[in-house]
Amino acid sequence: MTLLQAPRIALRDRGTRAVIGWLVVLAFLGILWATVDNNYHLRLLVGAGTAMIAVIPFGLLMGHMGYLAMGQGGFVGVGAYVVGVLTVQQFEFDFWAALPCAIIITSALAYLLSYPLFRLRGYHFAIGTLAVGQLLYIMFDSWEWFTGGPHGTAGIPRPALGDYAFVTNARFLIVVLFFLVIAAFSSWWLARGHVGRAISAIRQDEDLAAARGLDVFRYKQLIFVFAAGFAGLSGALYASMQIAIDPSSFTIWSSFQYVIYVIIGGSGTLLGPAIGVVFLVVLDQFIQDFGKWNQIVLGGLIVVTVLFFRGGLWGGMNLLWRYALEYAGIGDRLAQALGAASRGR
Amino acid sequence: MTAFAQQLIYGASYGMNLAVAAAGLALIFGVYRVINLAHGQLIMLGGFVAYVVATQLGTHFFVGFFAAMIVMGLLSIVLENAVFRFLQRRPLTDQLLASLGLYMVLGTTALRIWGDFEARPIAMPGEDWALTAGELRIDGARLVTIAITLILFALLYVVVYRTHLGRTMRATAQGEETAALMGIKKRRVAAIVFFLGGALGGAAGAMLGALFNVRPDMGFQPLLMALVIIIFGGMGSIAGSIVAGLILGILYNLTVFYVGSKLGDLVPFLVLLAILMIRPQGLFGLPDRNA
Repeated sequence: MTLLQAPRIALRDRGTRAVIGWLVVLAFLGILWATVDNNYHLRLLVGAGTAMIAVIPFGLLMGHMGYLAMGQGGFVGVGAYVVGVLTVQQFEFDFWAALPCAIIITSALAYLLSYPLFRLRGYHFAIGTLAVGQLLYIMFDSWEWFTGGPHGTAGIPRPALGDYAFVTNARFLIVVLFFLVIAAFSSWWLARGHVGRAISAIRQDEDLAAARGLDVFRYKQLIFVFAAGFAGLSGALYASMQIAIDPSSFTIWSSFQYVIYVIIGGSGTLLGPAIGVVFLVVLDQFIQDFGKWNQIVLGGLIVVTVLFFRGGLWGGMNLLWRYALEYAGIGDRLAQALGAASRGR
Repeated sequence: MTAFAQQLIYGASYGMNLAVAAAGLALIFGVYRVINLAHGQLIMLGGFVAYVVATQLGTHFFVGFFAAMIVMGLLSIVLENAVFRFLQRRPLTDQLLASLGLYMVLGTTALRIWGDFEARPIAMPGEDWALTAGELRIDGARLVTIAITLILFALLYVVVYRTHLGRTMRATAQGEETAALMGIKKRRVAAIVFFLGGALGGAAGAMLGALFNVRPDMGFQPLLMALVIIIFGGMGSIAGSIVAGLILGILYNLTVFYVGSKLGDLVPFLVLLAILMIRPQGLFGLPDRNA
């Protein structure tokens, strides 16, 4: 009995559970990094990690706060183009100098945009952000002397520390993982404290939250800027990963991609979006054989997930875990405790 | 001056087309409270139905046009029964995402069938004559589309405001539960609304296809424009979509003509942002409705 009690208490604490979850993820990524030596797979890992840096903070905005932003690809694009313009196109900055600029400029842009955008809610907000994303895309495409226009910008450097250049994918993955840890930890830190409670209240009933004295706008702005800053960081890393960037990577479809990661992985959780990225990157490898039919698989998957699996993959895993525990007959109370913990994310 | 007048009329015809597409979205949103992103693909598929019936089977344009309306109306009912029925009381993220999934499925299906990007024309009455007044020369086809859209809007007005059917739709829009208590069959209203919405999308697709050729990716721009239009005109307001569609079509054409096509693509979004800042409820929307 005592043996069962101790982990129950530990597992009921959301913080502990999250730390364990993230340690497992990191250990998994570490093992991958140490064992995968196929350059193509490494490349996929770098891409997945880069996407996660944008997706996990975006999950706070979309899942926790319930504000569907459909222009996140635009912010990623701004981050990528800031690096492209600063390192190659117009200036010759070092990557490490361009990276903070990318974050600062995207955050500042999001800060300014948050004033008009957060006058909107629901559908209006979704379509307003869609318009911003599309405006940014058209800007990358048509501001030719500055961004390189449709041909884009090529020759973006990979970063280096002293003599250690992160040129290969295996080395670059270290950089990506470093920033991924920062993105995940800061999202987790925001979600667990008063900010997390505030944005959850905004999702449930914004008017009520405002009436109870919550400065709703400040929290919305904070999360929006936070998500955009990491989108900029992700874009900067993407630019360096790809060496060359062009506007076609930052269309509305790229914005939809982030939304899809969150919804498939599990909206309203932190691990869910990360799992969504992994799942879709892996799935993409399998359904490539179908050629262009893969969009049908993906689209169908989205419809089915939205209709029948509202918790996404992470929610489904929690459900399975709960059933497994009940099936194993470990005891209803433990199963319930775990169930409550997993529902309480 | 003649160039300006010509662009004005071309813009109006394009805008009227978009307004037809947007009216379908607005009707569904007004009564059913769902934004259907798959509407863009209904427009595209409508174009293909018209192409298959009118061009490949060699019938008249109007046969293809009505086939597009009917097939898209029926497809829209199928989508409602299969997907949107379960989404009515869900958060808007779910509605947008599910319809985005449908958008991808329908779009890829069309791309698989007709994905070779060859030019697919639909012959349209009026293509071989033009109205000339001095320097001004206006394609007959443009005038025919304007006439068709005007007739469609007149019919839509009659259906919505002058028939029992329309009354049940408006009652449902005002309060679904009350309407149901008054004996209005919810499922039947939903089916009719989706049929009309899909048929309007199909009609827009057939006309856009006839004016500019049918392509598997032709649904995307009208969808974005229609989204802008329904916000501009006020969510769920059909009159609003007509006015907003006209304004947007004209602005778009004038910008493309005088400034360049890339900046023309910016116009709808700049208009949208301006509208959202100044009057989020749109031209004909009621204030403080947090849709």
